[in-house]
Amino acid sequence: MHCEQIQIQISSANVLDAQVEEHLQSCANCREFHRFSNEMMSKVGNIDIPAMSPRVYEQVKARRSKPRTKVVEFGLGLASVSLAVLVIGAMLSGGKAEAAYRQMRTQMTKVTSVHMTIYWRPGQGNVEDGPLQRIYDLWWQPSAWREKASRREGGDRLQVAEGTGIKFYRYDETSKKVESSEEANMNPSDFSLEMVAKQYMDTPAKFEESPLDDKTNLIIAINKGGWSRMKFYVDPSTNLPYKADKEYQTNGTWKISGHFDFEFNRPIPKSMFDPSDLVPRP
Amino acid sequence: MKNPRSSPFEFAELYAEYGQTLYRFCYRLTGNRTEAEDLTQDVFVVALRDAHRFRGEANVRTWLYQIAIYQARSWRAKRRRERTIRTEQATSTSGMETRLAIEQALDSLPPKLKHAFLLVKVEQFTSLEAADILKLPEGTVKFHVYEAIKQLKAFLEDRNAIEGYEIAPTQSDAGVTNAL
Repeated sequence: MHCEQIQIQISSANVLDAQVEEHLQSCANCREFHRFSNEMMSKVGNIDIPAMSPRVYEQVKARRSKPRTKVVEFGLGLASVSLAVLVIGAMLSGGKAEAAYRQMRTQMTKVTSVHMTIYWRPGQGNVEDGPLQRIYDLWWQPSAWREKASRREGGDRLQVAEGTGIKFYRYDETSKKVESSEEANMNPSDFSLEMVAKQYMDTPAKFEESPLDDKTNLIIAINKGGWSRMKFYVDPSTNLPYKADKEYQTNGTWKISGHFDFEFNRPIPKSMFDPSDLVPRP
Repeated sequence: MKNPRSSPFEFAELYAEYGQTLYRFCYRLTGNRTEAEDLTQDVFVVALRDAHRFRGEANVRTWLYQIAIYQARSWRAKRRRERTIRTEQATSTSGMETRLAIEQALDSLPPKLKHAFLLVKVEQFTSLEAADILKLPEGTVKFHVYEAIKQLKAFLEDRNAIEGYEIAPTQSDAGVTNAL
C-alpha cells in the first residue's frame, strides 16, 4: 500500500491492522502522521470548554411550548398593507375554529392533574391494517410525571422535582432495584397541549370546528402539509378534550394512526409518585 | 424515542443524556460558548419538533448529531461574515497559546473536513456512523478525516504552535523531514 492509503486508514481506524503496523515499522513519514493524528485527537478532545449555562434547558422548554406566531407577526409587520389582508388571513387560518382550539389549549394549561392513555399501531407511522395497541399511560401532577409502558417502550418510570433539579427513577431488572439519577437545574415539564400535539402547534395551517352532538364539539387541527391532522373530542362544558385521534391521509382517505384518552382533574393516588411503586408486583 | 411520543420523559431524559455531549460538540464546531449554547438549543428544539419522524433506523445519538450538523451548516451560512472578522482579529494576536492555536487550526478547516474530523476523532463515531450522519459515502468520510489531519498539521507547523511540537528527525528519518 502507498503511504497515502496507509494514512487514510490511520486517520479513521481505532485499531490498526497488521499491514499498517508493519508499514509503520519501516516508514518514518507515516509514523509521524500517526503520532500527530493521536496528538490532535487528544488535544482537541481536551480543549477546556466552558460549562453550558443551565438557561439552555429552560430556553428549550420555553421554545418548545411556545406556538409559532410567524403568520401573526408577518401580518402585523405589514399593517400598512390593509385590513383586508388580515381578514383574508383570519379566514385562511380558521377564525372561529382556531379560537375554539386556542380556548381548549388554554384550559389544558390550567388542569391540576392528568391521566392520559396512548394507543398506537405497531410499527410507527404505519397506517395500514392492524389494531391500535395501548402503548403507555401517563399521569401528571405539578412537578411530577409517572409513565407506565412496556419495557420496549421505555418501561415504568417516574420523574419528580427535587431541590433545583429532577430526580429520575426506574426499576432495574438486573439489580432488581429501583435505580435513580439526578439532573441539576432542570424542572419537570408542565402538562400542555403542545406535549400531545406539538407538530400541529408548530405548523397549524387549518382548523375546523363543529358540534358533534349536544355533549361534544369536534375540533380538527390540520398540519401545514395537509397530510396529517388531530381530531379532539371536546366537552363544551369544560372546553377540555376527553379523547383525540391522530390521523394520516393516504390515497385521499384519513386513517387513524394513534389515539389518546384523557382524564383531567381527578385525584391520582399518592403511591403513583412514590418510587417504591415501580417495583413489579408478583 | 421509539414512537412519536408525547412524553415528558423524552425531553428530560434526552437532555440529561445528550445535553452536555452535544454542547461540547457544538462548542468545538463554533469555538464560542454563546453560539454553542444557541446551537445546542436549536438541536433539541428540532429534535423535539421532529420526534414523530424519528423511525428508529438510526440510534438516537446518531440522529441528534445529524440534526447538529444540519443546524451547524445553517449557522455557518448565517454567520460567515462575523466569523471571518473574528478569525482575523484572533490571528493578529501575538503569543498564541496552544488552545488558541488548536481552535484556530480547527477553524481554518473547511466545514466538511472539520465535521468528519470531529465526529471520528473526537466524538469517536466509526467512519460508517459518521458517514450516516454526514450523508456521505464511508470512503469520502475517511478521506475527509485524512485531509483534515493533513491540513491541521500544515496549519500548526506554519505557526509552530503546539507546545513541544517539533519535527525532530532521527537518523533513520533523515531526508523525509521536509515532506512532513
